[in-house]
Amino acid sequence: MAFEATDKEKVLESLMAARRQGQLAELSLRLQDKTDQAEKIWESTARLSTEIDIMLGKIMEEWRGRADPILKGLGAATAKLETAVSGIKKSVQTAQNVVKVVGLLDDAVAIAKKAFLAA
Amino acid sequence: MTPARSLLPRRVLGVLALAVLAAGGCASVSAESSSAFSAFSASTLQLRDGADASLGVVQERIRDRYIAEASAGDVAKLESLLLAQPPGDPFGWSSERAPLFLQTARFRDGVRRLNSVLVGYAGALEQMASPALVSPQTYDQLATDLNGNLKAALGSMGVAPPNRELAIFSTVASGSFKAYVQNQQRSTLLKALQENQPAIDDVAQQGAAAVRIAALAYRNEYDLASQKLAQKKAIRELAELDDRFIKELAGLRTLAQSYQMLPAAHRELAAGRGDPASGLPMIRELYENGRELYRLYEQLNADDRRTR
Repeated sequence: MAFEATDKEKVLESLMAARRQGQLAELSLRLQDKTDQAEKIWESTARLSTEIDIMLGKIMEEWRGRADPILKGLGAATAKLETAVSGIKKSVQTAQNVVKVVGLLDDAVAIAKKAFLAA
Repeated sequence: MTPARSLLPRRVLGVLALAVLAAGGCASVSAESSSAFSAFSASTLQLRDGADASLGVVQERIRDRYIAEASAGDVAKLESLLLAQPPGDPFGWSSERAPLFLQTARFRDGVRRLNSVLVGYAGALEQMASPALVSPQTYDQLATDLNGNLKAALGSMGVAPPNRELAIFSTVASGSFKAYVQNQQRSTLLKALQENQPAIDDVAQQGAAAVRIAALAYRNEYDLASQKLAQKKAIRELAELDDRFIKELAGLRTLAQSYQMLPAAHRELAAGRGDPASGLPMIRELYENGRELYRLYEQLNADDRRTR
């Protein structure tokens, strides 16, 4: 069973790791007061951040697309199971009704017998 | 043939119609196996709530960052906030490039729906596995009604009802029917568990993927926030951010592990019994994982309250 990251997730991880390296380099340059160089790196990492956001959004949208058929499959299985649960409850009700009907029929026979004897 | 004698076989047929059905099997739905289904069901609830809480936090963070960036003059981000109506859909909305926080909101909704279906499925399994699906009083009432009917009918025929024998007969009949119902429960459960294993495998993989995506979103926010704090040399805040991020990752790891355990736990339910020495290990672990998740989120909430 595949519980591993997809290729797109791996690409996103790589982009984030690259940005992290850029952020560390920028920080190091700022600490050395090399502001111009730090700003250039900041611009690159900012562009990368925009791309990362876009890719993250796409991965989320794709996840939703894959979830739909899975949702339907398990939803149908649940509905089937719920029908079976009410089926069992109904079969008990039927049994109760059978007992009641048999009792009623017996009462009818008894009444008919009394009426026959009285006649 | 006396009326009483002709009456009894008809009653016997009526009752045996119920009892014969029990001959299909004698397996019962035990309280022990029912508690495994309850634990499974409770674990799916913990999964749903844990995943939703995680995504709620990251959604909020993405939204705050988005607002800050748009307020700071990011024109593209500002434009993305202007929603339009999609052609022909009076209730819809669209954005040329939907902001990430809105995509996250939709993603969160999708994850919640997926987990809610899982919760519903586990709940239906739990109901089907419950020895209380049909209450014991129902069977008792069935026996009482049978007994009462027989007594009344025999009395009206002028036959003295043999109390003890009738009571035994009605108890046996309702007991057989109980066995039939329990067997039906068991066979339906087994069939459902076997047929739905592939669907559970899919849900588990999809759930685990959602947690990995959530972890990426968390890391993205952490990378950006920590960089800002580092630039400002806000060391204490940075250390606190690190503490929180580590705890959040631990929560997500637990959540991902729970999804990974889900297929085996479901298979364990189908197997019906675990190792007598260890019970149902995967279900127990899944349940413990859920409790751990709850503990981690409680801790994070407490940290939040402290820092506010």
